[in-house]
Amino acid sequence: MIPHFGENYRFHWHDLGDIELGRPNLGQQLPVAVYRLAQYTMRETLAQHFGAERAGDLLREAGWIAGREFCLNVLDRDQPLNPFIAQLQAKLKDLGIGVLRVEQADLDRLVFTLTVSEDLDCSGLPVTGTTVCDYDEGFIAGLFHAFTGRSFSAREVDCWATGDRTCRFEVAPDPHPHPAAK
Amino acid sequence: MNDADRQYLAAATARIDRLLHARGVDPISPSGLSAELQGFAEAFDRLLEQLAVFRQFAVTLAHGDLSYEAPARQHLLDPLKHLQASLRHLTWQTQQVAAGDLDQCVDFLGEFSIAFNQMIQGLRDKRAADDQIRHLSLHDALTGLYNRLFFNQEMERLATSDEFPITILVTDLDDLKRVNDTRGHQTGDLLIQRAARLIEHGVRTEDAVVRLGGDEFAVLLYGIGQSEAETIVQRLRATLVAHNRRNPMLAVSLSIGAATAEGPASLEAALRQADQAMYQDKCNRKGRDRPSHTEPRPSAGTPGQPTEGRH
Repeated sequence: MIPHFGENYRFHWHDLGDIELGRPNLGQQLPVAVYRLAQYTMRETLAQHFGAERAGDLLREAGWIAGREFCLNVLDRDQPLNPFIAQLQAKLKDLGIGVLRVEQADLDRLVFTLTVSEDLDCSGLPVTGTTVCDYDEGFIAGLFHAFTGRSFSAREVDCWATGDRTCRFEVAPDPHPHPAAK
Repeated sequence: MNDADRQYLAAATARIDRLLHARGVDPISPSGLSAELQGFAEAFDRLLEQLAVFRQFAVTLAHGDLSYEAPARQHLLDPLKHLQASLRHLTWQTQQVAAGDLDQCVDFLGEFSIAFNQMIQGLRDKRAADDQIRHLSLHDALTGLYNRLFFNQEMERLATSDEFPITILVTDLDDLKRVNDTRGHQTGDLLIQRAARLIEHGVRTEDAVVRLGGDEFAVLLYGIGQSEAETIVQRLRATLVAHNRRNPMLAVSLSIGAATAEGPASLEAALRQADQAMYQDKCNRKGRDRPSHTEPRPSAGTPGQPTEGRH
């Protein structure tokens, strides 16, 4: 996936501000519930305005920007894929985003099965029977796009909200990339 | 309770016994039950179906087969799916380790994480030790330059490569024996080290500078033909002159010979030719322009040029 606006968005990493300066006492940490409160109320508002499916699409696009910016600003892209993934695993763990694991990796075709345990977005949610990690799908696609320059699709096949204990994503080059991906 | 109910309960009890003896069971799919029992029977059949899949999945995992694709939305399977995901990831990690990636780390798997990470640390330590041993085996302890073993291996490698032309410099440190005899071996070692640094300084970083042993050095000038080699020899001699002007108490004099191989067939011949050229240079310059180590002078003379036709 790639949003219709491609890389032409106005968000910059420095928009996140100087947190150390701004929160000298409260610091960087906050409870996961607060993050989820923001995400799921945002999702609800989007769904009220545009419908649930469109809300999922918009969160996926937001996740794509986040994944791309995360890769550009937090990760070292000047290394082969395997060390890059190892670095990504370490960073996601350190930041408390989730425990990333690689179930399968076809480095020739760039096809992966990734799992995320203790996922920031969904682990512990009520089971609704549908996957909810749209933001994560976009995040992974944006991250792989920033690393490879190609358009990727990331599809969640298992989720805590479907009753699984591990989120599972099928990641592959997008067979029909949006023109903005080129 | 009607007869169908009683038959059903007997069948259900038998299936529970089979399950407790780790044997497979089929759903009962009863009919004609009383209304009170029908709902229970349907739920029990669903449980039996999931237990059958659970057992099949567990047996597959126990046999080390990670390819089983568990059906979705059967939440009894969740812990096994989690275990399967971890084992698949460990398999991938082990493949990475086998391919040389020692940055892998296992988290959140209890004692196994500790053991795996200790193994990786052990492999890292071994790799560092191997690297150190390899370095020592291919380098000269006194100067840090490559040693004769490296030189021999590199000559063998070049003999089967197409990295030509290549020029071989052979140099000999003049008067080392006299320095050892008159000023001691410590000073002699210092002179060897000084010569090594000057040779390194006089050539490119990509060239291989070798201490063949004692007072003898060689340099492999990769991709360098005859005319460029002359320039490098001139630069090396200029480096020596400049050094000796600044350090008359420990002046360095090198006899230098060079020869170029245009292909693998002429590689050994080039080494012999460079060696002969070095001896010729030593003879030509003997007593003429070499700095004295017994009576230091403010400046040393310019070393001679390589023999005509051999640079």
